Amino acid sequence: MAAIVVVAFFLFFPASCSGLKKETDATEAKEEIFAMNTYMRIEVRGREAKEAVNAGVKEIYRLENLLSRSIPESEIFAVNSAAGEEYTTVSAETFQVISISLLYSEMTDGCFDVTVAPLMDLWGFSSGDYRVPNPSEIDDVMSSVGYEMVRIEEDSGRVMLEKKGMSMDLGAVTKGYAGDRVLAVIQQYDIESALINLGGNVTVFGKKKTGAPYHVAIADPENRGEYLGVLAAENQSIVTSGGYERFFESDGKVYIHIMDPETGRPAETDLLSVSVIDADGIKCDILSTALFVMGKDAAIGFWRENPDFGMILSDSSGTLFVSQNIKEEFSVADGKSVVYFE
Amino acid sequence: MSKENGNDGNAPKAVDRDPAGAEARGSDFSPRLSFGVPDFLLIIVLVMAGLIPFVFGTLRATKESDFEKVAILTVAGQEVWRCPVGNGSEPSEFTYSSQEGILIVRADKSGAWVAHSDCPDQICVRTGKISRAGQISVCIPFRAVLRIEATNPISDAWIHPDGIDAVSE
Repeated sequence: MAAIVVVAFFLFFPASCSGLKKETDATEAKEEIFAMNTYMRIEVRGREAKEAVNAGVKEIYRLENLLSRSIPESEIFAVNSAAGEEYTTVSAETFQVISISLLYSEMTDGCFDVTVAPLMDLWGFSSGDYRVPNPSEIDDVMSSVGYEMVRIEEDSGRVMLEKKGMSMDLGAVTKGYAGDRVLAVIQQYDIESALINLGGNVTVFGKKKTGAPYHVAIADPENRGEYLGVLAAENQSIVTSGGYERFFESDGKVYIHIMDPETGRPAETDLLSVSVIDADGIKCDILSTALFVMGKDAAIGFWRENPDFGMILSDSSGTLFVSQNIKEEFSVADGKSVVYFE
Repeated sequence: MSKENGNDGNAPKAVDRDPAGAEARGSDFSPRLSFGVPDFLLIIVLVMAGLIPFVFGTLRATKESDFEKVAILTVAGQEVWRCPVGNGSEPSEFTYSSQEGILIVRADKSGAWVAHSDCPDQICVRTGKISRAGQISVCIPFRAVLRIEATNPISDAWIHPDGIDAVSE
């Protein structure tokens, strides 16, 4: 009898342990996908983690089909196709994304512009066939660039690009917006925390299982094996823009993928990267691009006028400029020089 | 259960609970435990069998945890290669082939990197060596993700011991 008890204990003990593990695993779910031309990962913890992750993935694909410039069925494709000809009626959601983009274009004096798509094509960033166009080509295309030429009618929800040849690209908006939308969707489920990483645009919700905040590193633009520092984040989005990932070289000169709408050329600034931290993901996405184009002094000036978000600038001398309002949350990497501003 | 209720092994009431067993053993009617050699052998065999999952799990964990980090390559979400990274780890190379061409990843004690890719934009190759837990190098055409994961608490003072959850880039 005792032998049976002993045997039963050892037989069932491992099984019961693995059973407990399964129960724990059931409250955590993650999914990796490739969408919007980038790699994305959603991790959720909570009773309905699996359902939440599935819904989040579905939302990403929905937004890609709605806002992509290259998908013929998308609403943006329809607007671009009708450029210079007629208005296109779009969904309230697309209208809202375009409206917000135009608002930030005004706010940043055109440093952010959704109509730079013809320039991206000209320089080969859309196709991968990179080239340096001659000045006359750039001048020609520049006549089709300018957010002021995007007409919107709020009452009817219609959008039109004034000139033929104009084209909208919401690439610098969509991932930020998608982060907001995915978060909204997964919060409809019984979840405790989430980490949404859409191609380096990071959105976090709640705290980790350990009770600690999420730790989001900021990539070092000069050394991809290193970080500029680590941010302890909770219920925030963190978006970084820089020219260190997508670029090409010609005659010894580097041309990055972020366009300066004023010059029609890849942005040439004293910044290597800009990170924006805020609860609003679309704002982070847009501002990180706009502030990069502005350059260090203008970016800090912009922040001082609008100090409701966190900002980390990395300049060409290797110095970090960090807004005072995130000083506590941001741990600077060893060896980095940092200036806090307010 | 209290002793007053007769849980003492020598109590007559206990005999009544298992008369058949006692009779079968041809002994007195005591419920004393008696282990024979076969019993011990059976227990040992079953205990060892029960521990097999733990032993193998521990061996694997020990092997990886000898190093601070591990490099993992996934393609379309499926893990195709992993390699310990850290002091004492051996240099390693892995070649993945698909209709996109060839993707070669390497790892040594200081990190892992995409050494070659037939992809057109070469972003994965340009990313260079990744060495810190949480870092990734992505090749979109191959749907490949090279990732560094921590197997031990992070030793850098300025990084939380939990490590990095994501990299904003």
